[in-house]
Amino acid sequence: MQDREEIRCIINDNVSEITSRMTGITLIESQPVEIPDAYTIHLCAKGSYQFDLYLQTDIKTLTHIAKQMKRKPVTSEDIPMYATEFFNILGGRIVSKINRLYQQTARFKPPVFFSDSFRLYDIQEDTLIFYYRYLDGNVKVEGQFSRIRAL
Amino acid sequence: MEKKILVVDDSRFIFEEMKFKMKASEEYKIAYYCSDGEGLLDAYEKYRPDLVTVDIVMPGIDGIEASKRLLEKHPEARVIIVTSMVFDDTMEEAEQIGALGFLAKPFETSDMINIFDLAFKKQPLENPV
Repeated sequence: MQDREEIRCIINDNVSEITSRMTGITLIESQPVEIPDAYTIHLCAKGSYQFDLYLQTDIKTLTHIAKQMKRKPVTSEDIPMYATEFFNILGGRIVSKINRLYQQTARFKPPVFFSDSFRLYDIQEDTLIFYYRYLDGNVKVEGQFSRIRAL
Repeated sequence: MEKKILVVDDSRFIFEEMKFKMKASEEYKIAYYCSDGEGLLDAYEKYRPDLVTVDIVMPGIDGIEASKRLLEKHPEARVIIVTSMVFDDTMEEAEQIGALGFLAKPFETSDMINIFDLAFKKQPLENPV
């Protein structure tokens, strides 16, 4: 239970801070909402624990993120690159903090971008879910932390 | 004289971001780009940059392994690790292979200049690996 609360804070703090620093976007926590035609970015860290992080949002928000990062208008081909780099940095910060918190090590490969509501696993009872809104866009972030226990 | 920098990162965003942040610098020029760890050695031998920045999280071989291979062959290379994965194990590993510093993503212009300045004050190890 303590794990869950600590990781909840790490995710929430970093989503807000990194989004603001990299894109100038201030996300506001919101009520659960369905995101029609959502795109997904997924990152999986593995090592002495496993941590899956998902971000789902609409194309309008992704375009805005990419535009802010590029500082110029973007094309649809630009979106996956900027979205995955944004998520790479966000995920790296979160995984580093979890590593420090538990004095354990997990690493990840580059995040993967999907043009739909991709999900590798069903939502678990202990999946942490966050909803944010930005102007008329919505962002959903999910984190699933699992300790790997020796048999 | 302007010091030329090779950026190794699977995302071209970091190269563009560094170029943007360094455009006013008369000391450093973000000059070359390489998109993966496998290409680092060839890119280094082709361009002979004064400093290399290497991302850790890349497809194929990661930035630590790519830097290790570079420094085995070119111990004179100045390598800075650029990553969002800043934690003790990675930093120790990077130091052991002879990297001269860490730049945490996301970064400001002053962070880049400080770490580049520091790398040019340090001597690369003769046999870092």
